[in-house]
Formats: sequence, C-alpha cells, structure tokens
Amino acid sequence: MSERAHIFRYGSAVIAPRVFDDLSMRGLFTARCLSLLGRPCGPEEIKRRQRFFRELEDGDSLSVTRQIERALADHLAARRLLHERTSGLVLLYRRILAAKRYISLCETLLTASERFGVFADLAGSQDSCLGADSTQKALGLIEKIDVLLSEISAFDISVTDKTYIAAPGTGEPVASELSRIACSLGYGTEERTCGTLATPDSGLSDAVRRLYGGQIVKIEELLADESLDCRTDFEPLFDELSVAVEITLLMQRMKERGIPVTCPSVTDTPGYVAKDVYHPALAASGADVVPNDADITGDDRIFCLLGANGGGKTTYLQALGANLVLFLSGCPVLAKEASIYPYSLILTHFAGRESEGYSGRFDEETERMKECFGTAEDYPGRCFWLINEAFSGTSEAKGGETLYGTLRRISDQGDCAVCVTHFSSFADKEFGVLAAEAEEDAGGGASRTYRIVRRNRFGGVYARDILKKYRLDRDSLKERRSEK
Amino acid sequence: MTVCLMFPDEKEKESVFGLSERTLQDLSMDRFPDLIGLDAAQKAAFLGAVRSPSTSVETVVFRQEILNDFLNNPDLSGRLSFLCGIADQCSGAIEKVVTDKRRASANGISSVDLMRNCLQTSAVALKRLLLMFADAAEALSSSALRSSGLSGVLRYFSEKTAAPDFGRLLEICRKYERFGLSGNMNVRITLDGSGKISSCHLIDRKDFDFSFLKTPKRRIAGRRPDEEAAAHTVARRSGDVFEPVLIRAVGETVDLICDICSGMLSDISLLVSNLEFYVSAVKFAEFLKERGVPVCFPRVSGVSRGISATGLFDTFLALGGDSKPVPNDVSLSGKGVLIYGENGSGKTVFLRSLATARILFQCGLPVPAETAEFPVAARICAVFAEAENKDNGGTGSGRFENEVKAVADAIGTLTPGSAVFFNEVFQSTEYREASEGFADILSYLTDSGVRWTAVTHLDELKDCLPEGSADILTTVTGFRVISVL
Repeated sequence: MSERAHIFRYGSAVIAPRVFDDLSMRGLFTARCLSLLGRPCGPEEIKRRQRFFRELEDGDSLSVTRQIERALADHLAARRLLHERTSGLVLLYRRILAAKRYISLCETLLTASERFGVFADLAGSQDSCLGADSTQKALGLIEKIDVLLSEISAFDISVTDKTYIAAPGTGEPVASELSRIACSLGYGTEERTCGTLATPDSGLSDAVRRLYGGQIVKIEELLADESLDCRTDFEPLFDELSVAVEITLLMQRMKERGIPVTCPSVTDTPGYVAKDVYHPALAASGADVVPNDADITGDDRIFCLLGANGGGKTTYLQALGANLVLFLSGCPVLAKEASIYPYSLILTHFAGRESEGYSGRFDEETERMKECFGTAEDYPGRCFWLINEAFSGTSEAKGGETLYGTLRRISDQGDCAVCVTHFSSFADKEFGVLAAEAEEDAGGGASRTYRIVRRNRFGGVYARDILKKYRLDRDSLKERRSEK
Repeated sequence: MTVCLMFPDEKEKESVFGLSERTLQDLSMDRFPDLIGLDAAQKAAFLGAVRSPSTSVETVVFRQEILNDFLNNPDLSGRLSFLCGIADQCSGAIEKVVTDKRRASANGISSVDLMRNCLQTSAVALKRLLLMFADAAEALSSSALRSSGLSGVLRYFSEKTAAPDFGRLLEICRKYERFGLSGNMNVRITLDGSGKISSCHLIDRKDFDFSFLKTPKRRIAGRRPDEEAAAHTVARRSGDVFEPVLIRAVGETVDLICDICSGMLSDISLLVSNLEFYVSAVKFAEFLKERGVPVCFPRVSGVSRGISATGLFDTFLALGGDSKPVPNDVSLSGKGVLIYGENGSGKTVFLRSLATARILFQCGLPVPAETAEFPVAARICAVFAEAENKDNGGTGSGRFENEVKAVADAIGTLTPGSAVFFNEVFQSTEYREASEGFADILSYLTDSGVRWTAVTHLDELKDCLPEGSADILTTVTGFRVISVL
C-alpha cells in the first residue's frame, strides 16, 4: 500500500477539538465530519470545494456521490476482511471479493471523474486500474474468475466412517425434490430462512483445494494480475465523500425548514460579514431560531458583546463560530449571504469550571488563553477568536484588566475576535460593541427574541424578570417570608 | 382442500343452529350414546352433530346418502376408522419430532444422531400416511358408493395416490425409514461469495458408494489409476464444520417431511372426526334394527310442509326400553297441535317421539319409523314443565315463573319456520288464567310462522284458541294417539 487517495487538499492548521465542544457542534456532526472540519483548507481549496458542494445540490449528482460512497465502503470492508487472520478457501474467496469490489470502485470512480471536477485529478492513486482500458481488462479477469468460482463453489460430501468430497453430481437435492413434490401434491411448505452456516475449516479447505486444484491455481494466477492489485488507500477519499454527503444532506434539511444556505464569497481582507446567520445545532433541532447578522470589517476587528442574561450572546458566538468552521472547510453555511475571510484558524475560549491541577478557575482560564496564543503565533493576523465570559471567576477589576490585556494582544497580532463579557466597562473601551436587543414576540407576551446589533452604548439588564420567574425577586422573597 | 363428510361445501357450515342443552335433556337425547354403547370419541361426535342440526336440505340429504352408503357397505366405516386411527398415530409421531427438534435447538443440544432419529421417525410417519391414503382409496373404490360425499372422498384419495410424485415420495420415505442403520450421509455444500457455507442439502447420490476405493491400493491413492480422481478424502477432527452442516442438511429434510405430513393430516383432519359421527350413526341404526325397530331416512316434505310418519317409535324407548314400545302413525297439517289424554297414556312419549325424530332428521340421521316425511325447521326447541325450583335464591320465583322464563327464553330464539314442543307447561297456576295466557302465546307463535306442538291438561285452552287454528290429538288405550275431529 502506498499513496492515500483523496480529492480535497488541506492546510497545515488544525482546529482544536475543544472548539467543537464550545461551539456545540459535536452533537450535530459525526466524528469523521469534525475531523475534516478541523482542518481549514485555504482560499483556493475553499472555492474548489464550494464548486463541488454546488454540484451536489443537484439530486442526480448527490445520488452518484452516494453510489461512490457505497462502492468505497464495500471496497474498504472487503480489504478489512482480507487483513483478518484466515487462510485456505476463505482467504481465496476474500481475495476474490476484494478484487471485485476494487474493480467496481474503479468503474465508479471513472464515472465520477467525468462528472465532478474534484475527481478529475484524483490525488494519490497510483493504481493503473483507474484508467478506462485497465478497468476493462480487469473486468474481463473478474468474469473469468467468476466462471471458475462457480465451478468450485459447490461440492458433495459423503460421510461414513470416513469423509469424502467430490464434484457435485447431477441429482437434485432431497429438499428441493420434496418441495417440488409437496407443491405438486397441493401441500404447502413453510418458508424457513437460514443464515450463513459456517466457515470451511482447514480440513475442508484442503479437500476442496485437492478437488478443484486446477481451477484454484487458475484463479490465483488471475488474481495475481497487477490490474487487480489495489495499491491505494481509499480510506481518506471515503471519509471526504462521506463528509460531503453528510453536509449536503444537512443543508438540504435546513432548506426544507426554510433556513437559508449559502456558499460565502471569499474575501481578500480580514472580515466576517453575513446576513441572517443561524445557529446550526439549534436550527437542526427544529427550534425557533432568531438569525443574526455579522459585520466585522476594516479596522473594527475586536468586538465585545454585552447584554441581557439569556439574551442569546453565547448562541450568537456559537453561530458565528460554527458557520466559520464550515466556511473554512469549503462547506456551505447557514446564512442568507456572507463574505468571509479565509482565516487559518479558529480559537475559542469559553468560561471554564474549577478543575483539578489548578489553584482556581482563573488560573485555568489563564493557562488556556496562553495555549491559544501559543497556537495563534504560527498564524499571525489569520486567526479568529471567540471568547465567552473569560476571567469572570475573579474580581471585576482583575478580570476586566486581564481580559483587556488579552483583547489588546489579539488586536496587536492582527487577529479578529468577538468576546462576550459581563464587564460593563468594556462598553466604553476602544473596541467595537455589540448588544443583545430584545424584541417582543408577535403576541406581545413575556418571551423575548434577541438580535445582536452594534451599539455605542450598552443598554439595561433584564435580570429582574428572570429572578421573578423563579420567585427570587424582592416581592416574591417577601411573600415567601410571610408564608413562613 | 379439506375433506369433509358433514357438509357438501364450505358455505353449508353456516346452515346449522344450536340445540339447547335443556332441549337435549328434556328429550333424553343426551342419553342415546350410552344406550347405544358408543365410545368417548363416537359419543362426542354423535352429540356434537345432534347439538347442531342443519337447516339445509342439501346438508340433510348429503348426510343421509353417506350414511346409507355406510349401511350398505358394512365394512367400510370400520376400515376407514382404522385408517384414520393410523393418521392419528402419524400425527402424534410428527408432533414429537417437531417438539424434540425444537427443544434440542433451543437448548443447543442438536446432534447428528438426533437429526438422524428425527428423519427416520418422520419418514416412517409419512410412509404410513401415504399407505393409509392408498388403502383408503382402495377401500372406497371397492365399495358400492352412491353418495356424493363418499365419492368426493374417493376422488380426493384417488387423485393423490395416482399422482406420479406419490410413488416417488414413498420411495424417499422407504430410503430414510432405515436411515439410522445405513450410516451413510451425502450432502451437497454451496459456498457464498465470501467463501462461507451458505447452504447444505441432503442428496440422494448413488455413485458415492466409492466401491472403486475398496482395494487397498486405490484407497491409498484416492484415485482410479487411469483417470482423474473422482473423490478425495477429507481430514476430520472433533468439533469441525461438518457437525453443524449435517445437522442443518438432515434437519431441513425433516422439516419438509413434517410439512408434507402436516398438509396431508390437515386435509383429512375433518374426515377423522366426521367418521366418528358416521360410525356412531351406523351403530345407532344397527342398534335399532337389532331391537326390531324399523329405521328410515325421512323425506323432505314439500311446499305443504306437512308432517307424516307411519310406525313412528319414540327413540329413547326404542333404544332403552325393556319392551318394544308402541309406534304411532302421524299425519299433521301446518297448524299447531294440541295433545290431550289421561296421565300415563303416552302423551309425553308421543311428543318426544315427534320432536326427537325431527331433530334426528335434521342431523341427517335415520329415524325409528317405517316411513316419515318432515319439513326442515329453522329452529327446534322443547319446553317441558318445570319442577318446583327450591334453589331460587330466595327470590320467591316459583315453578310458574320459571316456566314463563323458560318459554320466554325459547321464544327469543325462534324464527319463522321454527318448531317448538311444549310439555304440560303453565299447569302450576289457575287453569283458566293459564289457558288464556298460553293461548295468547300460541297464537303469537302461529302468527310468527312458528309451528307448535303442546301436550296439555288445560281443557279450556282449545277454546281460547281461534277456531281451526290447531289440530287436536288425544291418546287412547294402548298408547295410541289419534286425531280428534
């Protein structure tokens, strides 16, 4: 085995697994999908993949892609079987199965390369069979193998004091004769399904080999032909196609629910501009989701997001981040329209808990922030930070000072950041301010929907309503005292 | 196709009605089997039929003709019963095979030896069943049959046994009935696309005798000297793949043999129980004849729906009486019938003889008479006078109320064309009131198309009924019943 077959190209950066937890992506995407999403790919590759995803919007193309995915899965399954410890007849059959599945895959990939641009230069495969002529030759070999296989797949056994094996005789098995007789006499027989019985052991394998020695030798000669020899690892290609199908199907479901899907345009200058961005996990859950806009351009690269408790700030952060992850891997995003810079990396810092090994939450968060900076220094000016209530586990003064220093450093590096914080003093710093604005629902009821808007000044807090709901506001606490 | 001797076709099965247990007891018909000396199965079949008389002329005639055939071919019912007994034994054997196989599989203790035994047992059972079919065909074809029912059974057995595959099936059974002894099992194995054993079937392969391997030289070489080896030895070890293969192959054959047996047994399942009825019916007729009582198959009366019989005996007395009872002639129109007479003069016996005869007729059974002609009634029931019921639960309901309830219950089941027999009801209250009340009921029944016959001491009853609405009979000396004009 030599090269690994793949159709996508990758950058060197790797998004930390913790990011997917922070952005609530782990429950929505498979591990295979997150593995690919964790490798941002650069502007040219983003555009290339976006073309592929546009092609997949066509039902037929998606169907063909799924066929390729299935052919790959079958091929890989056959190869896994081949690597299991076995010998004799079973090994021979598995080799044949692996060869058949491989040729079937090659046929499918040839068709794919005619249809999809990304397959045109299937990277990594050295297999000669990925050419039309070779595939034809291989198909001819498979046909011959099938003929020989049909000759060796049945045999008669006679068990007395010894056991003998011979080629099948001409007589009908007793069971089929009985079935036929039962039918002709007007009696029904019960349908009984029996699964595969057993694997031939070494005794039987050897006996079959002696019985059909000639045919088996011919089969082995045919299997040795290089056109049947798969020298490529197709696992990466399978992963890539599976992810492409997964993303496409997700986006289809979103569209069916009326959620907009778009392939953002790739900008040359840092920024993140998008209209009506949806949180993927919330949208997928079927909940009523409030979309929001992003407007991070030019010099305003650092934004602080302040606002009401339960106002959707974390959700907004996650929506921005999750869609950015999708964009950086060339996938469509959940927005009406978007123009985004192809950052090299996304970094997240969400509020932590007290954890062992640290003298407190503040220490733990500080340490994590250091790690983020360590990662970011390889990609100066090309990182997008999402920070959620960092350093709130200490005094406001200390926490505010540390956060300010962090944001300044991010800014000095040329990176972009959106930071959720409750430190109200940040409303007056040099950074951009976003606020959660409440909108009443259609019925004028108590529930609120929040939109994130740029604000110059930060508005009021709705903590009182939340305290009342749980009878922890002043009046409720008074009532509770008098009840006692 | 299920062979049936009780109904000419499936839809006729809907033509029966239920005879109440009370009616059966009042007419003493529940005691007939014991008087005749029927065994348990015959008793159950006889009473089962009596409890469900038919309202269909076709069914009545169908059964009469079959019974006639059995009476004219005395050995036939016995032979067929014997053969049905064999079928019963085969059924038991197959059930045991199925149970043993299933239990062994569920407990993981299936073995080749067990399967061999199952195959042997099932082959023996199927062979016996096949031979039973052949014998049944022979027994029927050698009898002079006139009934469509038995001719149909003959056709069924003849068609099965004449089929070419019938003989082949017998051959297969003969081969495997000694399976345990032969020691030789031939199996065809097929591998699937992944090289695993996907199927294995027993084969009947004659050239597997390996006689050419008998000479030591050839056995060692494993091949004929002048041609390519036809067979090779297989090295075996304990716990190898052949055990499950053989279990599956033999088990599959067992299953199919059991399926065929089940199909055959299902076809004749009704025949087995129906024959019990005819055996009991033959015994019934023979018993009466032995006692010097004439039997006949009543004809169906036409549009007039008249009732007539000559020399009609009471069945209960004919079967069990110490002396031969007195027969009576009957000729009745479509009106209701009142029967008067002294105590102990034979009124109730006469009523019973008539009711019993009509029920026997509608079951397809012969009646103890020289000749008889009856209409087919939609329902038949009897209401006999109630004894004082001490166990009335403290409700204070006495005999009269019980009788009224019984009458009400009976009337509730009657439809136009039904027949009801009353024996001295409403005599536990003031006679004038009883007469008027009973007359109203009888008039109602007449208007509803129900034919009634009533034994009574209520003299005023006949005056309460509309004139000409009832035939009036009376008993005379010698237990005879005559019409009062």
